[in-house]
Amino acid sequence: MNWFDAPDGWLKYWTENQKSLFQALAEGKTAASWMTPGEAPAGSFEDWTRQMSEFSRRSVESWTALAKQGWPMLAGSDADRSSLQQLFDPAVWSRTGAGRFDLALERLTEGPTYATLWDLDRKLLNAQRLWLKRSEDIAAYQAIVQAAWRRAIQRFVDALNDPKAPPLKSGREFLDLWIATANACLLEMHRSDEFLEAQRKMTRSATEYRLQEREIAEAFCAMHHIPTRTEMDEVQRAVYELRRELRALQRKGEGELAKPAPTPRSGKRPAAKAKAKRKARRVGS
Amino acid sequence: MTGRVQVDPQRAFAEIAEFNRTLAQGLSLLDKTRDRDVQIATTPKREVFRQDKTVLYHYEPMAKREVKVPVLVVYGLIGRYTMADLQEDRSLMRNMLGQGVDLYVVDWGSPTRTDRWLTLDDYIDGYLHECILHICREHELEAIHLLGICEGGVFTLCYAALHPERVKSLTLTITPVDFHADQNTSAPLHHGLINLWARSLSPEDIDRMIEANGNLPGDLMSFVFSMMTPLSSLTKYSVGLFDVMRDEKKLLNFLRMEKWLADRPDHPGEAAKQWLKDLYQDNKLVAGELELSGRRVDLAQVRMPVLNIFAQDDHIIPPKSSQALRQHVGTKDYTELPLPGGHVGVFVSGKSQGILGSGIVKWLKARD
Repeated sequence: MNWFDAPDGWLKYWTENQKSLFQALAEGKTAASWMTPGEAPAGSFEDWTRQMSEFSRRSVESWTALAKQGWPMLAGSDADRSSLQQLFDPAVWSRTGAGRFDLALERLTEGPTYATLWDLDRKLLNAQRLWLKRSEDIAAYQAIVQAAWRRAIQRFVDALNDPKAPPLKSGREFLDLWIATANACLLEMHRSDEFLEAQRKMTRSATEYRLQEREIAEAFCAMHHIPTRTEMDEVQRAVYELRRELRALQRKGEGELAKPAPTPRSGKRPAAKAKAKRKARRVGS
Repeated sequence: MTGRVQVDPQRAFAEIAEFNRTLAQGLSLLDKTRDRDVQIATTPKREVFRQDKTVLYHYEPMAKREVKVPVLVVYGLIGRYTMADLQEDRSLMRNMLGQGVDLYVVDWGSPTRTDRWLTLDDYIDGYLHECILHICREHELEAIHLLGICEGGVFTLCYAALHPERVKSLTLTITPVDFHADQNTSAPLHHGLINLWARSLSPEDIDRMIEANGNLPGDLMSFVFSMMTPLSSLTKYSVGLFDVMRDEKKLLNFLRMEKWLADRPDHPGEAAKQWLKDLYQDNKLVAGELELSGRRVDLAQVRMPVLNIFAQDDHIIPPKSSQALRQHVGTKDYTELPLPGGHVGVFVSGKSQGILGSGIVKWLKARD
């Protein structure tokens, strides 16, 4: 059996059922009417079994239809032969923004999270999604850069054809004109909002991918009793804060030492003086 | 192709022959050149103080002392102080030592991921403060002269505002002060591109970038710098190298500059966040909103003499960004010294060598 044929069959099956469902609704039948078994058949046991079987089939159909309505991404799915073929075609993977492949990844990564299931798989899928995002952003950035180079070539050709411009008498003058023209074009591009935004997005998506990569590496480290980058950062932060506190204490200590020693006005120590004052107040009261 | 290209065949032949000669001589020179021929920062100095990765060096004297109070040179974290001592005949350090200055320099070292938590507070109010205290103790002085370069200029400026009692005079070179001064100007296209780049990022972009990398990678900053001069960056090892490869002196200068450029350390992460968000994006220094170690940096507290040197064709720090200092400092003894050339050219070009060193020393002598 060619199993690629199966999705076609399933699609036909669902389409037919949808059609029936809508037809039923259009004919004014409520869901309840076809979801509720009628009265117990008066006929033979065979009749009753047939009716029960029919009821089960229609229930499954209606719940499936409802599930499709409630989960639109399933309704939009075109998991037919060509999409499956694309899923396994490396030529499609290498393309940026691989369309259905992206969509599939998005569904998988943005679906419900289970506490103990598929955690590492989810990390890997997310990394794949971020890699594609990064590739898309790089492609967008490169498109802007390429456009600037094309403008540079056009301007260079225009400059060469400018009848008012002085003649170019050596290869070096020719080269210098090209360098100056291209330099100006690229600088204009570097200052443009379009370029700056594309560069920002590319930097950000590369960063996000790198961070996701770290998450995967850390999951591996945790499995194999190896300290993670995050843990190392935490340790280094603790060392840094301790050093900082130590410096502050040293500075405070040096400041205290540098202060001139207090010189009490009388020969009595301040504590003894305060004690004598308290005693005099008690005697007075 | 066109009437504009009028290359005479004889001249074209001569040009090709000359190209071949240059290439042959240049390749032979490159073949002979060894790493030892391309040493940078060779002016003799010794380590006198160290804290974590920060090292304070004291230069060996080269002439009779003419400026009594020592000068501490402070470079930033983007790049390295060796730019001010690139080669014997192009060295601010040698220039000043030769004119009788007692000179120190701070080396911040090579930050790694372990340094990601260091903030500008730590560099300015911690390491720099300790270096200054060390010099003050050694010389039994209350205050010394500070000379800041680029980001190091911001460090010394903030320090002078927080600890004015420790700063006898402040010399700033190619230092950004108003980080938004690049806007609404008729400056050339390549001026202020870093300001534009920094503002194009969102604060969250910066935080995530630091989270992913730990620090602001030196390579990334090199890339941003190369965007400012795209074609000369792209043709550096073809046209650029070809133009100097026949002349040994020029070739060695080129290679020394390459050596300095290749040695771009990573900028510690938390300090980079402050640098990009608080300064480049929010311009807190001139707004009087920058806080270090819980204290507001008030530029009006800068009451010591100030010499502000900027490059007239500085594409990295637009001149207006440096010149903005005048209206914010509290001193009446404020001098500006505009120099020809670009950001790095001020330190390494033959043209500015005499003016820079002697300009600083003359100004210092009058305030020593």
